[in-house]
Amino acid sequence: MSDHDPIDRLLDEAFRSRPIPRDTRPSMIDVHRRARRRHHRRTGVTLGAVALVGVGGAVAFAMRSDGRDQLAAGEGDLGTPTTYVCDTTMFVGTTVPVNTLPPFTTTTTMLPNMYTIMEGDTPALVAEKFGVTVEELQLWNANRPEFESFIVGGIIFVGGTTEWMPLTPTTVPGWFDPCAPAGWTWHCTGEMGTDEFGRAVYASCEQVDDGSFVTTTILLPTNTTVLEPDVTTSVNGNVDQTTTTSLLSEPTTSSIGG
Amino acid sequence: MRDPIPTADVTVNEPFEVLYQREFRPMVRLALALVDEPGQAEEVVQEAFAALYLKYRVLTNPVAYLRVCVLNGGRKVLRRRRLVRRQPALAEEFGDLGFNHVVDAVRRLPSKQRNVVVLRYELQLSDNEIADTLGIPVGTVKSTLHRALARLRTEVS
Repeated sequence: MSDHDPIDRLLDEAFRSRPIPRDTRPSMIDVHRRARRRHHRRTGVTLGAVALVGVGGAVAFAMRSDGRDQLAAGEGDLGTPTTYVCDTTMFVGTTVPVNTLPPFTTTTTMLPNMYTIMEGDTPALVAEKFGVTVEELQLWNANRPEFESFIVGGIIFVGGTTEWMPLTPTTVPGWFDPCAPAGWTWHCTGEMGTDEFGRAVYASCEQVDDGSFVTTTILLPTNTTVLEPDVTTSVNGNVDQTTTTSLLSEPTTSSIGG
Repeated sequence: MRDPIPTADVTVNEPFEVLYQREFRPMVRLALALVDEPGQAEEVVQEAFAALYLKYRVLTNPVAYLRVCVLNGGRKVLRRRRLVRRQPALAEEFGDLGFNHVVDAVRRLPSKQRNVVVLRYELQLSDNEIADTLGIPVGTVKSTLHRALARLRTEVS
């Protein structure tokens, strides 16, 4: 384009002179919700919703499963396999059904603590806060851009592994299973909210399956590092398990086919 | 226009939230260049980000994908307006879309020319960046832009 081309200059001025829009950027939660609705419109599959109301948590939120509202904890059909996607913080202490898409494997995984980088933090400072070494932080956050960039608001792991297979339902206080379809791997992608201490309370996670992905938000335990599922599982897909919930009067047994 | 080809391999993009924070307002500007109505422009942009969000992990060029989504969304809005008003595709019915007659003329361009012009003048992209965004050869970008400017020269004068 010639610099002295009048139409070029005219276009340049016309676009530059337009008013700059105000920043009305919706929150990430709204992005999640819209993405979920979009996925439902295009595939007919409802990705979201479990209503979880429990004890000791932060904020309750309502989700829908297969078009039905899951009511307060203790209601709903625990035997119905489905896929849940959560997009806000949820109360802990609630059991959710297991997904039955084969292949299904489960593992007890040391869950990491999540820490949100605050103003003034450095890797050395964070290591000191938790009584660990910088080398350990580097190990727990290998290949994680949030640790490599180390910017305020980024979530880093303190302890444990950085990815885990979906786990069977449990009512370990402080932990909520996002009910990922079996066989999916969850990678934590970023922060969704923090508690008053700047710690991640819930975070967006995503799974990678066949090239598409679904995001979910899980409640992250701030102190829990070991998950103790109350299940008996096998590794080749057939799972018979007993789940207990603090909100139901009797244990519920779910039989999962491979 | 075709979307950037997604890959089944997992790519390591920057965190979605970072891209979202950085690109939201530029995308609103891009959408406004097409549809001019702020509410509709934001709706187009939010749908584009939702579409991006669903595919983010598997895209090698998420920003290009986002821009294409915004361009496609803007085109759909303009097409719906045309259908509602029951007027031909190329006419002065877009003339009342905004206060700037030059930008109005851009909106009256055929969609391929319009896309190249708004990517160049609203987002200030280079020929290579436009080619990368739209998935077309650089030569096609140059020739499309050349034709668009020739047409605009006539319309604006």
